[in-house]
Amino acid sequence: MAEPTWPAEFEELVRGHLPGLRYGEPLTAELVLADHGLDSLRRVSLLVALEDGFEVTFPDELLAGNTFHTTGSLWAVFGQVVGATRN
Amino acid sequence: MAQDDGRPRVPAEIELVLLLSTPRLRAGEVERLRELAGQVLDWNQVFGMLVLHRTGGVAWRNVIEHDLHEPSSFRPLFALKGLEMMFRAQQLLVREQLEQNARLVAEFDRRGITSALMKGIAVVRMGYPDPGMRTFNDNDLLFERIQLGEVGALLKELGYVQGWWDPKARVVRPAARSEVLLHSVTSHETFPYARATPGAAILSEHRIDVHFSVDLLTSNRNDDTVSDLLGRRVEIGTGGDGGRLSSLHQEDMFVFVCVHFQREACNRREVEMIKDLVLYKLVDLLALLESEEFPIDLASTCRRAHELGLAPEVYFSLVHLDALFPGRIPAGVLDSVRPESVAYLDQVTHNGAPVHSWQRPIPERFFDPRRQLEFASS
Repeated sequence: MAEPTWPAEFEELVRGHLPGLRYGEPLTAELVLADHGLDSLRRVSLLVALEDGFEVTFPDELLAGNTFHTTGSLWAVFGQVVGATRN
Repeated sequence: MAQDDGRPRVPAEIELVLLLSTPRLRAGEVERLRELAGQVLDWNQVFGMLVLHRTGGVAWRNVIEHDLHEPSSFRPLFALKGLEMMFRAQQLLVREQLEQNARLVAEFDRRGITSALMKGIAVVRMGYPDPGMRTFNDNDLLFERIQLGEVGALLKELGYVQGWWDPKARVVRPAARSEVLLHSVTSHETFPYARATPGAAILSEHRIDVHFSVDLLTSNRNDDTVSDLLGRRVEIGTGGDGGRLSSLHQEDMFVFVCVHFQREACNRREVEMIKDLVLYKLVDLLALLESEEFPIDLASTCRRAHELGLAPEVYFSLVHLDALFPGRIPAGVLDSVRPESVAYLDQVTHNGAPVHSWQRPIPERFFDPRRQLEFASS
């Protein structure tokens, strides 16, 4: 299955918040973020880093769902936020 | 546990506080209230409990209703002025909160945003004979999660800020972005919004808690349940000519107040702040149960609790209510919501895991403000 193409900066920020992801292990779309150490505090830290890195604001209604389940679900939402801001 | 005469087995000071805190006393209870009010008691305890448990407004209403303000009817007669001031301040506060809410809800309505009031303000309108009987600080509103963006945009447009009220500087201090995010990610509501109300006599700031889930103190989301609850909402008005306000249906409200009580009662952080077992929360349930304007059928409410998957929370709250106010819950009702295991009745939890089991019975631990020492040392 082809991996979605997300920017390198996104990948770097997500990787930096997953202490359970081993060096060299691929960051796949199906990777369950909580299983790799993304607890609620790291989730907030990641959000702040993403907002600062991409100069966007995450809307409240998107924070409350299953946004942070997998890398793919996070990118599906975050990619829209970035796209909507830049268009 | 009740005595043979149906009263809870507690010291006279606590018995008096429970009677003074009962919104609609029965004939036998009035007689006992009069008897206790004239006795030599530890009145420090009585007045301290009425303040800490936020039921001083109900107490003043009972004092007036049952003529305890007459000379020699109430032992420390001079101290009653404090209760009267509390009652009158609460009346004014509720009126000002209602005015602010009516204005805000009218704006939500104009923009097609569906909302329903919950907890304090709604319980005041639905359950209590007089608004002076209940105080509250925050205004809790339930919204569809999908409308949160519009809700936040409108609140900001109206001058509300996500932050804390600074009572010394009398301004709202904006919260850091990380605090705002943490609140939304880990709980059932967004970070509270507030706006100063300089024109009001007693209300310093109008605070709005934006709820988008009824699974309190968790990150679980239940959008379908929220839609169902909003679909059943009822009109409660402002008690004046200040516009229209809607609230959860009274039976849903009863279930929600039970959930609120249970979640806070078990939570270690709430225990540490002595906010776990506070009498006004159970008095709210009593007030709702006996409301004439918004009648509740307890059997139907318990069926509703099952439908919503919230029967254990309702059982927990009814057990506590029954322990402090025996005889108010009809026989059979408790059994209808009793879960298989009831160990959780005595548990304190942290991040969902039990960290302590209370050793003392409910009435004893409920009125011991140092109860946290029991688990701090375990």
